[in-house]
Amino acid sequence: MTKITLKNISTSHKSGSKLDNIDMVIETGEYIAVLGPTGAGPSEILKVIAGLLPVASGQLLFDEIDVSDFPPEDRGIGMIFEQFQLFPHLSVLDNLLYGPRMRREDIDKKIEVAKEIISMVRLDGREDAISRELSGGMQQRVGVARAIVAGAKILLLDQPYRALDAKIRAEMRVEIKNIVKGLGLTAIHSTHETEEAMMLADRIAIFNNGVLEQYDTPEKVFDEPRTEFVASFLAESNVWDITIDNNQVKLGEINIKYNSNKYPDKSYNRMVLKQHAIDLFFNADNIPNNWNSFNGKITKVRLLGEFIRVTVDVNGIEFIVRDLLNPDLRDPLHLIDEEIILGFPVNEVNLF
Amino acid sequence: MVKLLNFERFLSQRPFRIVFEVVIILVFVSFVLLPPLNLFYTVIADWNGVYSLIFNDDILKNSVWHGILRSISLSFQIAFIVTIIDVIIGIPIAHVLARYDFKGKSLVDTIIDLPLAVPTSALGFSIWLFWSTKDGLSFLWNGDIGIFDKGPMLLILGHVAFSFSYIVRNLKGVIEEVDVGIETAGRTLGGSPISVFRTITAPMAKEGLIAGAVLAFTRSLGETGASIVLSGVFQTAPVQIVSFMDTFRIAQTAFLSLILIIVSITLLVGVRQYARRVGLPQPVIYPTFERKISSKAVVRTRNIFSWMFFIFIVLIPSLFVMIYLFMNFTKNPITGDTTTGALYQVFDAPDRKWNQMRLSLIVSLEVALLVTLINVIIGPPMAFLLVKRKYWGKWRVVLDAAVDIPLVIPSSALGFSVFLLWGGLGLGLTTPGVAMIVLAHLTFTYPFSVRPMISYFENLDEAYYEAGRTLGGSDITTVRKIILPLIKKGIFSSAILTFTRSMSETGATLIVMGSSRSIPVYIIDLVEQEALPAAAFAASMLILISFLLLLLARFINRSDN
Repeated sequence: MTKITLKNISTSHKSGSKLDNIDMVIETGEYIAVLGPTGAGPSEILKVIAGLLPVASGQLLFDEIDVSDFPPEDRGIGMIFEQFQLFPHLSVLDNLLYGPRMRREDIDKKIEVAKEIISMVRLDGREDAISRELSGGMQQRVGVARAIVAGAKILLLDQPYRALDAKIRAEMRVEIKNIVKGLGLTAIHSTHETEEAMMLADRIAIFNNGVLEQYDTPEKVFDEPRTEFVASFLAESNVWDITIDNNQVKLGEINIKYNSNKYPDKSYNRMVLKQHAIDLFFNADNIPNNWNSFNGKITKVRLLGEFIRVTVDVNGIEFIVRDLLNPDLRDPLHLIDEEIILGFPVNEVNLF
Repeated sequence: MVKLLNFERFLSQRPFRIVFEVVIILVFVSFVLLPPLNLFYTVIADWNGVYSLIFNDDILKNSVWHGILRSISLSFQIAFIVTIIDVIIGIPIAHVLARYDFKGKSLVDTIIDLPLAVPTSALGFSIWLFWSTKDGLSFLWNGDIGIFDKGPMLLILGHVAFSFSYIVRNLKGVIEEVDVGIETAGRTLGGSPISVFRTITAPMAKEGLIAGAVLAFTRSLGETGASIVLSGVFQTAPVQIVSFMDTFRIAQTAFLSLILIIVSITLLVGVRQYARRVGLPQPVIYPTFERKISSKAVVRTRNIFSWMFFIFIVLIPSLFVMIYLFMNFTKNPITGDTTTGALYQVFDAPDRKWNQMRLSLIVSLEVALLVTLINVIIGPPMAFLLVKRKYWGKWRVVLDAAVDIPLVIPSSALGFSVFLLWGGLGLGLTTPGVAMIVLAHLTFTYPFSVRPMISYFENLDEAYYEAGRTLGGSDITTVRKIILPLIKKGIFSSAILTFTRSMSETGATLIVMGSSRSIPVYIIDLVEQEALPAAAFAASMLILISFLLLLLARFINRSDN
């Protein structure tokens, strides 16, 4: 229920982080994912919003109020931590009531609210448990409930599911997002995982080295990455030095067609091609229109569970291809040294 | 090499192991547990004699009892006030040391530890010089007399100086263990820094705070060396033990020692039992008030006050003796008289104080070395047995607590119980002198070599030992090649602790020394002879030695990480 505006926010190098001139607007009720490598900005942006990391310059607005100088306890935010950070000496209920107590609210009334939220996060009957009696997933549910009971209008989820097993993580992602959306809270969720960000977010902000590289819907950032970093961070990619010659990409001996409407300039020198965007064909007739295709030879094959990773040599250039494992392919390893045709859509060629 | 391995294989056989374990346990029982138990037995066995001497004397009636009551009550009052001051001042300092990084932090850390290593008699002497003589603080305005006379006020100042470190050390450790993230969580939920500290950090650090407070309390209760210098006519209980012994009033000494031992053990056990259950005032919330005192200005004022208190009440008075020595090194700064300079007194005066000083220093070093050596040999195995052997059953808990008993018992009472057991009144194995000093020091330094080792062994992964055995090493070979290298730094740093503790002890030494002198005792002698510059010389020397040992210990701990 709060709109967040970051205007030219920078942090000082002394604090060990280096957010640089961040401009971002987060609309009321939006669920934003902040994505990037560790230390590059995702957690730092959350800390700036929470007031845990001092801002060297710039403005932070909640709705129209400048909160840059507010201490964390006055910002009305709720933070969800990677390590849960439940107070170990308090029961679940007392953890939930900590915020209201600090804000001198009517505790009797708040107990009712707390109980509602407890059943919302499916912890009925656990009111008197202490944190070490709860599983990781349960602890994180308490963490979320605690922030909500405290009356947070903004939820900051700092890598909230990183410490959980894959199965619990998948459940929690959906469940907590539904609760957040149901209550109309504004949420900012930092993560290192593309999948998590793509799945949850209304918009994704991608950070590298303290710089906001791109801020857009999941589809947009995935299909139209604005920088080489974004393109190669979102999915495993082939990255090459290239030159542009005659409206074609020149990569070693081979020429690659690209969408010149998307890339009208002539001065590109890097190309990013997602590994999964490439397909392998035995028969040239199957290649769709508007695709690039090359003859090559398979040099390596690696099984990755449901995926297969194949290295193809095309005129001395190595293409790494990531594909779903075809169930018919009983023994993919026999493909080594096989001649093959490799193809990918013209639109998948990203130039920088 | 093969011979050694075969020999170790031979020694690893079951009978040898059993003999070894029995010896280690016997040593623990006879050197540490037996003396206080024997004291208990003596008082009970001779209860009629004790009773008539203390409660029903022909001439004194029960005035001895009243004297004992007076000294015990004084000791308790002082220990109580001292602990409260320690806690109030210690919390902010421990918090700053645990949570902030600043230049010179490790030096400050070492300086805070210093009073733990410096002999309390040197400390007490320095504090007395600073507060009570015209050469101390009054020197600034050319006063004729000091600010405080010997007595309760001076005792409090002195006891704060040496017990303060226990609180800071313990508290700093536990605050460091509280995840900063948990405090952050409290902040984001609306708590001001002080509210968060009181409702989250403090309850989580509670056990450390209580443990530190108990240590500070029992240290103050049982301290002898500084108290002798500072008490004047206001005898604390441990000082009274020493003065009873001076006139060889055995029954009275035994009775008072027993009371102190019982009180200390009750405190230790009580706290061990209840520390976990005691809650601090929790649900009461004063957010508005605490928000006000969380303001930067208030916090800064409080921190500055705490540090000022530390510097002016603890640090400067404790080290003042060095300034005094510097001023009186060659001659009296006012009269210019060289015969009252430290150099003349120590080296040139006809009574040749240096000879005696050197002798007592040698006694101290000898005793400390011997005690450390014995402790290194018997301590770690006992810790190992306590942790790894299953035969203790329920007794494990009792023995675990028993290891700590010598830590909290007043050392003069402990020294007396050693005297009673091994001396002419008991088994008659030795007489007061160096050997008995070693026995007494062995008793109260024992926890230093066992306690840290217990946690080392508890955290040691059994798989190392198992790997060593499966790779063909015999039991002893595996211990020597695998376990010892893993714990050697722990052994070394507890050895240094043992050494400094033995070097600095006064109370027990006074009881069992006979005609020998240790250097802390000799300082008291010099003070009583009013050879203050010479005393300052000895005290400064001891402070420097302790400081160097502390730096060494710190260096070893550092390279541990």
